[in-house]
Amino acid sequence: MPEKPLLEVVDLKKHFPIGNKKEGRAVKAVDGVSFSINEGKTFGLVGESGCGKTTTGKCILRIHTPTAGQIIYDGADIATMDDRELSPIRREIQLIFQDPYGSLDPRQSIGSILKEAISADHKRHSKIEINERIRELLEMVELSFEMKDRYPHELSGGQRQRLGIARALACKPRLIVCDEPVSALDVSIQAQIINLFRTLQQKLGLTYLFIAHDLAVVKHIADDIGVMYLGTLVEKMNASVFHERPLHPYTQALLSAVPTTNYDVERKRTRIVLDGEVPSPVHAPSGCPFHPRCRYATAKCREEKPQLRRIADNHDVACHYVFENLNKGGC
Amino acid sequence: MMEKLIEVKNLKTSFFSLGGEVKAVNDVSFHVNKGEIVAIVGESGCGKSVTQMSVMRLIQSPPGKILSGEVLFEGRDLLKLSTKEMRLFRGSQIAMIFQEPMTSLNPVYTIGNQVSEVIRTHFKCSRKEAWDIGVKALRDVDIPEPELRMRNYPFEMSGGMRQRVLIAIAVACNSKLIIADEPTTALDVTTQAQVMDLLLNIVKTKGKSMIVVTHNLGLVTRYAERIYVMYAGRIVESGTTRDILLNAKHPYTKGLLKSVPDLYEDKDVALIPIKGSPPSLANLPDGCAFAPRCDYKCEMCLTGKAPELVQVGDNEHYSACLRNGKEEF
Repeated sequence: MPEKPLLEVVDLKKHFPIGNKKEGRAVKAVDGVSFSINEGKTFGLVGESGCGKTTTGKCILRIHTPTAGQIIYDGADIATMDDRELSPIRREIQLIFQDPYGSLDPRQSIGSILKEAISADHKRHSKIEINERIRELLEMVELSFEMKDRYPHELSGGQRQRLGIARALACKPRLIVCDEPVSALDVSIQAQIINLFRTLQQKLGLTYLFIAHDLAVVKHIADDIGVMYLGTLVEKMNASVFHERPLHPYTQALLSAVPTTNYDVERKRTRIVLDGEVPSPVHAPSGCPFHPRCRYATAKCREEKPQLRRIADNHDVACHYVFENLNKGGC
Repeated sequence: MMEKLIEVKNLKTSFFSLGGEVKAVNDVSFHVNKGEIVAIVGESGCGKSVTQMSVMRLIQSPPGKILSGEVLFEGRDLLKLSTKEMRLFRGSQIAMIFQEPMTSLNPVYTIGNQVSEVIRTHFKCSRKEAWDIGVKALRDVDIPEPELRMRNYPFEMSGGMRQRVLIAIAVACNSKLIIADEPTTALDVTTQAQVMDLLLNIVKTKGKSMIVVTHNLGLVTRYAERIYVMYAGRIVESGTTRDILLNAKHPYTKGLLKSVPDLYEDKDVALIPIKGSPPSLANLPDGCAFAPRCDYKCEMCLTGKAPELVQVGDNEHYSACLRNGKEEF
């Protein structure tokens, strides 16, 4: 019996209107994305810049109001809720930003930053309670309690990201949207933060939507992975088979372009280098969004947009010719 | 014996700030053979970019100063050239590609203007000829419709295209050595692959040499023949790509390799991060700079001078660690 998902996104769309109203043109930043995350699991959303992964995250946080689709969080559709209904849910869904420095007020001490987040539940807290909670939060992210009187500029990049995590945890969230949380960090620090994410998940039973462009990082932390291209999910699968059985031509190319430190694999594997660049979402191609760069594209791909189809257990692909490519042995 | 194109010996560069001397490059030696691609790998603030800036003599002074060392390019010491001679040298013999393609192009001039400016600095030719060489250079880096693109401004191009323009400028003057400082860090993965393949292609078909400066060990696995690993202003390990990746000796290199998640590894293998964070270059610890973060340190590591590079294997494999070869890690 499958567990009930904590978050279910159904055919989410976010269009940003451009030009004058009569023309009715729009940038289709997110154009029909569906996925679900079970409680305590991690869903990784990968894709190149401009593919709509951050917009998806912002819709779930209701920073953006979606144009269409449903966002079912804990049984209720939050896509159409108004601010009053949303307010208790907002505390349960938190966000961790990419740039920890830009997302911290330089003139606020660390204690004060955390205090603000702790008091966000509009309940009365005594000074002692707040101090205890600050101590607890800092311990959780492996910072010392003495740090509370310091300011963000006194912290290193890794410490700032830990503080960002502590602030997100202050409201006791159930779901955390992590938008590129480690890409601004140095490699040796990256590993510390990734491990911290995993420990916190085990300890607090958190659910993550992990948005990143680094496939190796996402594969390491996520249970399921969705690959986005120009506002649509092109492939969705279990993280453990991610590198073995990519079936969508875009996923195959993306994977083969990812650098690896595994010397033997690198010397053996063949690379698919794509031609051209990601088209602008203002002039999105007809049919399959990937067809102008696809090796297998046919007339059908130019006309008809493929839908996500289940082709194996927990593995969905949006490609007309997925079975033909399967027979070719993929990449 | 391979012929050395450039050899840097005992280079020391420091910045003098109110907080004291910042030893950004501390006794660094490396060389690049003709036709070779060499990678310099390290985290931010380890001095890898300052090393390359010193080679190009682009260190702003004050506060920076090249204190000692030699940069021998085909036998000539670049540090002894006059400013004017060096100006002619840059671009024509050694070209540099920077990380941020937007900030290294001037936003108020067209691409054509900037490409032909470089060509006219180094070749005696008319504007028309320089323009034509520029068009050819853009075509060489696979920019579609180069004639039209010459009239574009940098903001009209995507990140990958801008990086191609910088590469075009670098190859237009037939320089023998290309220094690429984080050439693909600002780019997406698939564009990154395109740009790296393009660079590799240029180096191999035109018989050039290249230094790739990067923080991403994975990126150079495919391209580099040799790797130098830098930490806190020093080279801590050097060797062939194979030796560094499969048979690393220095605890820092080992730590770095274990802390990077890899696509081809089992996901249940926990990452082993390196403890702490890199030291400040203004206030380096005694002894080995990595010792405070090292799992294998002994008392000897914490005192005296930093350990010297010692040969630890065939094929020029060197590592700067006191415990090299004495005990297995």
